[in-house]
Amino acid sequence: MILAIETSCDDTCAAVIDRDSLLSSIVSSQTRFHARYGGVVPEVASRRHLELINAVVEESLVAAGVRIDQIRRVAVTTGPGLIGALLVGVATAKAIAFAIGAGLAGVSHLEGHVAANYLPPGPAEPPFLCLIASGGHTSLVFVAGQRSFRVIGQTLDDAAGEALDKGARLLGLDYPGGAALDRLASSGTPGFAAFPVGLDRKGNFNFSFSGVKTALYYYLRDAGPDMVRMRRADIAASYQEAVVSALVKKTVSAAESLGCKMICLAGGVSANSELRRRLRQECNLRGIGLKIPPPELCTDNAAMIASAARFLPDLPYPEWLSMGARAASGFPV
Amino acid sequence: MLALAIDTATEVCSIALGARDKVIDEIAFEAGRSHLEKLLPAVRRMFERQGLGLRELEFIAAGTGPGTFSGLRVGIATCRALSQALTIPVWGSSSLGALAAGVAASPGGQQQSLMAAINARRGQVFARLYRKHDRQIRPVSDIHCLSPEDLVEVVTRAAAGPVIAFGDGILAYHEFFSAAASIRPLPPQDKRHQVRAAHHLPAAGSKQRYGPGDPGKVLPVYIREPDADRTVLLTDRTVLLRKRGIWQ
Ligand SMILES: [Zn+2]
Repeated sequence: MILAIETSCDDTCAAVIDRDSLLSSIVSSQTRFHARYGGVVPEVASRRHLELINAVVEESLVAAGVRIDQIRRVAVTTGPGLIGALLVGVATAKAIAFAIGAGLAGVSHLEGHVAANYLPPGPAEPPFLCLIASGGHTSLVFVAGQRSFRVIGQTLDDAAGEALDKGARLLGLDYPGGAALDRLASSGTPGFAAFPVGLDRKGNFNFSFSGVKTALYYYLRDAGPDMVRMRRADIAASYQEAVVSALVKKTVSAAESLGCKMICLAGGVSANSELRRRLRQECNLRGIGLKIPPPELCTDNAAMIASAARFLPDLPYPEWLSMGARAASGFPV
Repeated sequence: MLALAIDTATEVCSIALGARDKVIDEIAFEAGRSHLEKLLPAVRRMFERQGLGLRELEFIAAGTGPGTFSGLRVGIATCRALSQALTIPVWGSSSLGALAAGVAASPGGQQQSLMAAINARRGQVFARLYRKHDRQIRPVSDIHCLSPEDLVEVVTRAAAGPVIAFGDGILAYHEFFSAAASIRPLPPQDKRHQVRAAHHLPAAGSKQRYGPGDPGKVLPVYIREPDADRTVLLTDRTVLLRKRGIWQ
């Protein structure tokens, strides 16, 4: 029985897993607290985590029908993420494990995103290529085994979800605008305006989204308010198309060059309807399998941290009592 | 009635084990910015050398600051999680109050004006005035967050007679405060500039109880509002890694 805690960004999350069955997954989203700032304020996020953490843990135990002393292991995200936010989760997880005499596992947030694919429905089996795309990361990772990762590509500037959110903001949509942009784009024509696809060269699996964002800024400025008002849906569709194209093209060509027969998605951008449609189309065409976990497992959650922890050893006691959090950390090597 | 008290408001982390009016054991160490790494190992050390088990614990008291935000969050999150996992009550107790209680407990005048101050960085201190009467203290001002200059002005206006001042907020500007007529800082080497968690132990006796229905009870006293200028859109975490040369 594993209790997992995740507080790397702006969602306070806890989950309980027993072998292969996920018993509970609680996510307390802070989005509304950050909406008025138009972004995540680290200090606000840290304060909210501390306010919510015990209640969220309690709720995950109650929903799972488990007493805290039945937990054999506590798993927690140690990074990457906002340091003040991570501190709250790690301090809480360590103190709970210490108090009940449970084991402790420190989990990489990115490894967690990958491990969302090991949860039902239809758990995936490595090897596969995983595209992690969210407001906080954009990585292409070849997963050879549960504990074996190779980073194939990553963004050189903004994350994909961040590019969508920033585009939405330029189009006058409220933060976080990714979902609203998706809705607006669905009634527009993608070919209406041409936006650049970053690093669009064969064999380059890195991403760049700062160019397309800047292009949108100048496009809107030059087009003028009347035209923008009239063709907002078309502009949104064209912009989203550029971001999604970069993700789809690079993911599919990376899979082909690796001879990889399976692609898995992770991260909040997996909810984007255009990304899902395009990727499904391209995968069908090439006989590549595609797994997209349900939306609640794609966005940040603790179930994925619990899932990853199943494949990790317990850290040695009492050494883990001095475990810290790392704002900048990648896949374990 | 075994109680654990933790204070992480300053760079010196303080832990005490005891009952309401009796201290069994105490540890203080320089934690700097490593409260998360150093706190629990020290708690374990203390229980081990006392031959006590965590299960014997009945109460927890957490210093609520004001002080460094991340230090406070680590200490308070740890106390709250211990309380939750052991199903025992946790209380919040002012770190400025603990400082003042430490000075009030030592021999001195029957009636005195005290000022506890904790370094707030960015050229400011958190400070509060107390009135000592028969070793008891009572706050007589709000908690201020001011520059040393502004604080001297406030104290000069508010207090009758010189105020005995202490805490790392006083230490950081000792020379400056020593020059003010209304303020009499304790000498720099005086131990009472440090917050002692032992002075939180009496707090572990009040009637409030933290439980499942009552989660957010113990929180830091921040005083300062979050800095909204520090808004970040989430620049890719992997970029962060590369910039620091950690990943590829
Ligand atoms: Zn994430």
